[in-house]
Amino acid sequence: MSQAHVMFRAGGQSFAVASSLVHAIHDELVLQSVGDTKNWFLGLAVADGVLIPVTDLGSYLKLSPSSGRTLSISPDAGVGALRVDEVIGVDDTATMVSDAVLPLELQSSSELFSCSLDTKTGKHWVLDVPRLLQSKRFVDIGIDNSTDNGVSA
Amino acid sequence: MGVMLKLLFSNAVINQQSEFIKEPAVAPESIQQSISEHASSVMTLQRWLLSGRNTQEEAGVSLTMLQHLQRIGSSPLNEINWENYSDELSFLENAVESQIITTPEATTLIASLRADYAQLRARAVSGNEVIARTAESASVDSQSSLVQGQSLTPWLLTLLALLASALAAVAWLFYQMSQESAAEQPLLRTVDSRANQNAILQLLDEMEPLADGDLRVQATVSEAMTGALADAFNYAVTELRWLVGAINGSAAQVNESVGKTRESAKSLAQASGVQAREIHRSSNYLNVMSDTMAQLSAHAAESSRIAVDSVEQAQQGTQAINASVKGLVNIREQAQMTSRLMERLVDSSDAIKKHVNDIQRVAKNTDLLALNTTIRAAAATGGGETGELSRLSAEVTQLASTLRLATRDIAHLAGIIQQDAALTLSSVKKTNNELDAGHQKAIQASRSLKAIEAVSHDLQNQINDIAAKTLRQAGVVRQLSSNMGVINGITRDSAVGLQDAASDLEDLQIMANGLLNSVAGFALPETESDIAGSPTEGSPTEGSPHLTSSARVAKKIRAAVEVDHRSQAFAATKPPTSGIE
Repeated sequence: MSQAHVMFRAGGQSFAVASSLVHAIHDELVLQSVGDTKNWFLGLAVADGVLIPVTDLGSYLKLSPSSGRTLSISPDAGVGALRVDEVIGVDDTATMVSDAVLPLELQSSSELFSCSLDTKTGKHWVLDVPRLLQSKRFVDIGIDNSTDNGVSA
Repeated sequence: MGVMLKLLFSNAVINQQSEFIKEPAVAPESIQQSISEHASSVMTLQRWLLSGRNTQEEAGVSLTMLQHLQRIGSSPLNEINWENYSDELSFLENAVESQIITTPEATTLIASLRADYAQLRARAVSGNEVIARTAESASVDSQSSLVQGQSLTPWLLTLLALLASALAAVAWLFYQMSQESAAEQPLLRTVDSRANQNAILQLLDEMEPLADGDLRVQATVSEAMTGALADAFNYAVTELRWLVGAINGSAAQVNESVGKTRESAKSLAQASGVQAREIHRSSNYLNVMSDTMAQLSAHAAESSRIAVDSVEQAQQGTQAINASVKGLVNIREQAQMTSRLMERLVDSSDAIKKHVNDIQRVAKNTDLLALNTTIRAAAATGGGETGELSRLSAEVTQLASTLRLATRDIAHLAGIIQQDAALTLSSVKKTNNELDAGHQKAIQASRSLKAIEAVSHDLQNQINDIAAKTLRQAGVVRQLSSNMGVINGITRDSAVGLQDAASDLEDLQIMANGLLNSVAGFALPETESDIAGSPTEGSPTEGSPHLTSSARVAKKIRAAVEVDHRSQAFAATKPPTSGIE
C-alpha cells in the first residue's frame, strides 16, 4: 500500500512531500517580513490562526526563487511553511525509487533527498521535511556577516 | 525736157524719202551682178543717145535710169524705184515709137532692157522675200516711230525740190540757149550769148558743191540773166542750212532725251521686275500666313472642343468628388459607429476579464480546496490511501485545473480581444481623422474642380473668340493675297510695257541717229567766212550716196556744154555752108 504525497515544483525542480506532513496549502498568505534575515526567509504569516515562518524553498535549495502557493507544515512535524512555485496535486499511486541519481542542482542539499517518486508527470524528489525543519541552517535565519552568509548548510 | 524735170523732181523726192524712212536692204550677190550688167547696157544706150542729134532728152532719161538702177541695187524691194525705172524705160520705148530714136542698135537694146527688167524684178522679188519682210517691218516701225523726222522731212524735201527745180531750170535755160545758139550759130554769134553762157556755167560751178551736200556754197548775184536765179538759190541754200542745222540740233536733243528716257525706262522696267518679284514673294508669304492662320483657327477650334471636354470632365469630377464626399461622410459615420462598438467591445472585454479573474479565483480556490481536502482526507486516514475522497478531490482538482486553464485561455483571448479592440479603436479613430482630412480635401478638390470648370468655361469662350477672329483674319489675308496677285499682274504688265517702251525708245534713238546720219553729208559753215568760200575741199566724191540726181544732171549738162563748146570750136574752124543744118 503506497502513501499519498503532495507533489509540487520549486526552483525548476519537481518535489514531493508526504501528505501527512502537510497541514494545508495556502494561496495568499499575508507575509510580515523580518529584518536581518536570510533572503530565503520570507517572513512570518498567520495561517489558520497560527503564526508560522515562511521559507522560499527554491531560494533555500539555491535554485531560483519561488512565487506560488505556500505549504504549511503539519504541526506534528514542526512549525513552518514552504513557498513553492506550483502545487501539482496529491498522488498516492506513485512508486518510490531510492537509488535515483540526484540532479547536480540539488547536490548541495543532498541530505534532504533520499528517494524519488516516479509518477505520470515525471520524477519527483521526496523532500525530508523533518530533517529540513531540524537542520541548523534552516533554523538560523539571521544574517551572520562574519561567518555564515547563508549559503552553506 | 519737161518730162525729164518732172522725173528729176519726183526722183529727188522719192530718193530723200527712201533714204529717210528706210534702211537699205542689200540685195543678194547674184542680183547685184545682174543689175550691174543691166546698168552696163543702159550706159551703152546712154552713150548712143548722147551721140545722137535729137536724143539728148532721152540721154538724160537714161542717166536717170542709171540712178534708179543704183537705188534698186541698194533697195531692191523699193517698188517705187522699179516703177520709176519702168516709166523711164517706157519713155524711151515711146521715143522709139515716135521715131525719135531710130538707130537699130538702140531700138534692140531698149527692147532687151525691157526683157531684162522683167526678169530682174522677178528675181529680186523671189530672192529677197526675207529681206522684203524685214524691210517692210522696219519700214512700218520706222514710220510709226520717227514722228519728228517725218515732220521735218517735208521741209527738207521741199527745199531739195526747190534746189532741184532751180538746177533743172538752169539746165533748161542752158539747153535752150545751146539749142538756140546751135540754131542761130551761123547767124548770131554775139558777145551776149557768150556772156550768158558763161554766167550759167559760173552758176553751175557755184552750185556744184551743193550736189555733194556742201551748204557753204553761195551763188554770185550779178546783173547777168542768172542773177535772180542765184538770189533764189542763195535763199534756198540759207533755208536749207537753217533746216539741216535744226535737224542736227533736234536730232541731237532727241538722241540725248531718248537716251536718258530709255535708261530711265530700263531702270523702271528693272525696278518693276524687282517689285513684281517682291510682290510675288510677299503674296506667297501672305498665302503661307493665310494657311497658317487657318491651321491656327483649326487648332483653336480643337482647343475649344478640348476645353468643352475639360468643362465636362471637371463637372463629372465635381460630381464624383461630391459622391466621394458623401461616401466619406457615410464611412465616417460607420467608422464612428464601429468606434463606439469597439469601445463597447473593449468594455465588454474588460468585464469578461473581470469575470474570468473571478472564475480563475474560484477555480484557484476550488483547486486549493480540493488539495486541502485531499490532504485532510489523507491525514484522516493516517497518511494512507485517501480512497474515494482522494479520487473525488483529484477530480475536483483536475476540474479546477481545467477551469483554471480554460479561464486562463479565456482571459488570454479576452486580453487579445481587448488589445485588438483597442488597436481597432485606435485605427478607427485614426481612420476617422483621415476621413475627416479626406473629407476636407474632397471638399477642397470639389471647390478646385468648380474653379477649373469656371476657368475652362472662360477659356473655351476665349478660344472660340480667338478662333473666330483668326478665321476672319485668314479671310482678310487671303483677300490681301489676291489683291497682291492683281497688283503683281499689273506690275508685270507695267514692266513689260516699260521694256517695250525702252525698246521703242531704242528704235527711236536709232531713227534719230539715222536722221543725223542722213544729214551728216551736209557741210554747214562754221563761221560766216566759210560761206561762199572754196567749197571743194573735203567735198564728197562722185560715188558718195549724197550725190543727188540734180548734181549728176548738172555734171552731165556741164559735160554736154563742154562738148558743145568743142563742137562750136570745131564748127568755127569749118566754113559755113548753109543756113540751118
